[in-house]
This record gives sequence, C-alpha cells and structure tokens, in this order.
Amino acid sequence: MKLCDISLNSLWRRKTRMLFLLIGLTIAISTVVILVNVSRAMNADIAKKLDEYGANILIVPNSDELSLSYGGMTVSGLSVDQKALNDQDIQKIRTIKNKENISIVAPKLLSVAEVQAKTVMVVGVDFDSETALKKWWKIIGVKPGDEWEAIIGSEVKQKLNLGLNQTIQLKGETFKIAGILEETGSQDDGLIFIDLKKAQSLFHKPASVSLIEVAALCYDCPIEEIVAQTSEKLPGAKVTAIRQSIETKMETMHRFEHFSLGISAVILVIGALIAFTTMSASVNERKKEIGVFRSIGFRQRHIMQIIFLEALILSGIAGLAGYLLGWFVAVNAAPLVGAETLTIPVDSVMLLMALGLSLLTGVGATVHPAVKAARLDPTVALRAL
Amino acid sequence: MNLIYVENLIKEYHSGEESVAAVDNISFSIDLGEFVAVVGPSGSGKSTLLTVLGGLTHPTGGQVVIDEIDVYALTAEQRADFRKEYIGFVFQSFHLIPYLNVLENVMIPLAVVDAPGAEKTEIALGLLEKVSLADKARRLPDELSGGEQERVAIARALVNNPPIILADEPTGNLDSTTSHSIMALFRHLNEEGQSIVMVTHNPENLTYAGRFITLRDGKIAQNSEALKQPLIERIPINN
Repeated sequence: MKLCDISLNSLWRRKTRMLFLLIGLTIAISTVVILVNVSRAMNADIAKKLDEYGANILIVPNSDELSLSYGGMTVSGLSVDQKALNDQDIQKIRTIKNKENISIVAPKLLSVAEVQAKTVMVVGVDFDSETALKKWWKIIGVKPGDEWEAIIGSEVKQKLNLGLNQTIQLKGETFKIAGILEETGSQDDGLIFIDLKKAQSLFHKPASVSLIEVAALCYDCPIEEIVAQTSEKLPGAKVTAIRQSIETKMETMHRFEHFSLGISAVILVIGALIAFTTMSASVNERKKEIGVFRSIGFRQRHIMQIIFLEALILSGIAGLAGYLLGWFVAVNAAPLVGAETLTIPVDSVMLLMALGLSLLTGVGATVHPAVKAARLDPTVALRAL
Repeated sequence: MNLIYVENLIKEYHSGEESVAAVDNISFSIDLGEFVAVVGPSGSGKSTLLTVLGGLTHPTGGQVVIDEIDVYALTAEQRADFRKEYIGFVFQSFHLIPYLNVLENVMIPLAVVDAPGAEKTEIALGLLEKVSLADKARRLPDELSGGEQERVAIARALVNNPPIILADEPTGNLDSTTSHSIMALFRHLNEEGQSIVMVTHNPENLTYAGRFITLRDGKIAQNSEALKQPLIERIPINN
C-alpha cells in the first residue's frame, strides 16, 4: 500500500466524474493540437503558394559601377564582366545550410541587342525556373522548347510589329517567336527572353550570369540567415532580401498562428476550469476521507500528494489521448482548409508539448483544491458527514 | 507509569460573542495498559476530550502530555507524525474508505511508512486474523456487516502498533450482540497490554473497562478508582 494506490483506487471509484474531466481535458488538448497542426499546415501551404508568386532574394554581382533597372529593382550593370556571377554560383546556392528552404533559383543574363534598328534588352533565362517563378505570366503560344525559340513581351510585339511564329534576328542569328507574353505591367513587357545557354554563347559571355532571383520558402525560415548563408557561399555577390515581399508573407502567415494561439489559450482556460471544478468537487465530497487520513498520521503533503497524483495521472492520459485525437483530426481536416498538399507527421515535439500543456493545465488547476484539502481541519473533516 | 497526563485542560468553542466550554479545566492521568471508559450524557465533552487527547483539536488551555511529550507544543505536522506513532483511532461510524478493500483499509496508515509491500501485507493480514476477518480481506467495506466494519477499523487502528487506542462510541452503531463481541475484542487487546481510552454512553460497556471517568458539562463528575479487576470478570456476558 502506497499513496499512489490510494490515488488509483480513488480515481477508479469516481470514474464517471473523472471520465468527465478526462474527456474535457482531452478535448481541450486535442483542439490545441488540431489548431496548431492545421495552422502550421495552412501556413506552410500558404507560404508555398506565396513563394510561387515571385522571388524574395536577389543576387547580383558586387559592383559599384554601372547599374540598370530590372523589374523595378536596381541591379549592377553589364560592364562588370570580371565580377559577373556564373553557372557554378547557381549550384552553390543549392548547397547552403538551409538549402531545403530554397524553392526556385532563376538565373538571368541581361544583354542588349539591335532588333529592327531598335535597341532591345535581351534576357537569357532558364525557362523552366522562370515560368515557375513568374506564375502570373500568361504566354500566348508555348514555352520555348529549344534554344532557337524566344518569348517576347507585349510591348516588343507592338513596337516591332511581331507575331507568333515569326522570326527575329539577334546578333545575326535567327530566333522563332514561340510565345508572346500578355501584358504584365512590368518591365517584362519590353524584353525578349531566350534560353540562358544560348544567350551566353550569343553574347560571348560563357557561363556568365547577370543576376539570380531566388524564391525561398519562408515559413518560419530565417530569411536573414538564408541571405547570410548565400553571401558566405558567394563572396563576390551582393545578396539582398526583398524585405517588403517577405514581411507581407510573414505577416499573412503569422496571422493564422496568432488566431490559433488565441483560440488555444481560451480552450486551455476552459480545460483548466473544468479540472478546477471537478477536483474541487472531489475534495469537497472527500472531506471525511481526508479527516481519516489526517487522524491516522498523514501529513499535509501526503494529502496533496494523493490529489496531485490523481491530477497527474488524468492529465497524462488526457495529454496523450488529446495529441493522438488532435493529430488524427488534423490529418483529416487539413485538406478541408486547403492544405491538401501537405502531410502532418507524428511529431514527438508536439506530443511533448501536448503532454506538457495537459499537465500544466490539469495539475495547475489542482493546486488550489489540493492545498485546500491538505489544510482541512481533521476534526471538522471527520464531522463532515 | 503515567502514559497520558492531562492538566487543567480547557477547550472552548465560540459562537458569536458566546463561548462554551466543552471541556472545562479538567485534570487526570492514565497509566500504561489501562482501559479507561469516558462516560457522560450527550454534550458533556466526551468526544471533544478524545480529539484533544488524539492531537486533533488544539485546546484553549492546559496541557496534554503523552509519553512525556507535550502534544500541543508540537507543530501541526509533528502532531501528524505523533498520531501515526502513538494513536490508533476507532470511530463510531467506522470511517472506512469505501473504494479500498478490507486489507487496503487496514494498510492505510502504512502508506506513509517506508517498508516493503510484502511486509505491510503480512502485518495487515496478521491483524485481520486477530479480528477474525482474514477470509474477507478482499471484500469492500459495504459488503461487510456493521460489526465486521468495526473490526476492520480496530485492525486499522492497531496496524502501526500504537501504544494508545482512542475509541469514540465504538458500539454506537451496533446491535447488542455485536457490541459485546466488539467490547470483548477490546478487552482482549487490553489484556495483551494495549492502553485504551473509550468514549461511550452505553453503561454495559463500562463492565469491560478497568476505570471510568464521568464527564458532565465539561467537568469531571467522577473519576473512579482503578478496579483491581475489570467488571466483566464479575458480570457474566452471553456472547
């Protein structure tokens, strides 16, 4: 016979009441787990989708000479060939510590060419990554399939009076217009896009890259760290986070988290109130029993131990059950809130968090009833019935 | 040898501005191995005296010394330890824990004693044997008769081997035959050397005691001389 035997037997005796408390705590914990999991999944999903809508890191050569404007951003100029980025730099970006946060790497080589006696900026791109980065592009025609095909902006089409499948001459070589961009309202409207490799050979800049746009999945990713890690890998480059874009994304994502945290806090308070009410009622109906314990030599701390052990057992079970229930519901509910592409794994940290919250709520709410029980005057307690 | 020494004991209860002395300046002593019955009408202060002797109710004045320990000079937690070591309580309404079986009820005082489980079980089973309930060790209290529940309460009071048993109306809820059986058990324990202080309003129970103290309005109306032999030996009891 130990104090824990008394606690276990007492729980079993009051199983209906304790089941009520257990269910209350389990629902509270599972709701928190659901909210955290679903909001995480939603955030990750939103982050993923947002990141598909543009770059949030810009890498340009370190130069203080000429500059030109691209996409509303000022980048280093064309005349700094000795400091230009190259194909190897593209690979290096994929080797940083937070490489799993790197979603898209879109290198570009900017050059100028004469087309029909007009000066036009020609951009060498990797069409796969460029179209992934610029989801808003609407191409009339098709994405170029080989190096002799190009895409032109709507302004180029208009000013040079060009049409689909017509050809243009760049540096004496002929390119077929495979696609025409619908008006984007950006500088892309005045550009000609050709394959990056072809541009490098055409403009005699082998392996050279003018700038690299990077889309980093930034759900909880430390963008400053990614910038720092990239800078470390590319010492000759200037790596800049497009702060406004990131901050907007982060704000959108964290709004969901704040909402979830608020709801979770309210639910935990309700759970704590259920625990407090149940344990207080339990203490009240056990006054005689507590009087007996005290009269036969139990110290105050022994009484508290019995009550706390009961709360500990119930909270532990509620934490585990709440986590499993919450995980199950979250897995099934995530697709309903649009996070269908993400999986919710069994997370040991989340399990520990659920257990911790449950213990904190259940045991915390039992402090007052336990102290009250321990301080009961044994003679008053014995007269209780 | 004095086991219990009570001097100028006062216990007052307050109700508004009025105070009532449940125990009013009494002094007496009880020797080791005595079986003392405390008698008196309802409201005479018997039960209050018992809880004061057991270290449960702080007196308003006076002193209770048990085995040379000034009980109320101890802190509340020290008194809990004192009760564990010195006192075994037997209550009128048994006060068994309903969700623990007979064996577990007897072992409750051992829950705060550092000893191997098997040893605790052996002690409790030995006591159940003594009160003739070993065969009902796994029953719940509500499966037992009143007399059997009282025997369990007595076994529980004895489990820590305390020098004093304090019994509050131990036969108050029992029929006449069962009462005699319980009193015979008390007498037997006393013969084995157990000191017992029993509160009772049943005159028949006096025949089992070696001495009685009569209380009236909180004062000692009569403190009988120690009888050379318990009255029971002179009064035949059919049980």
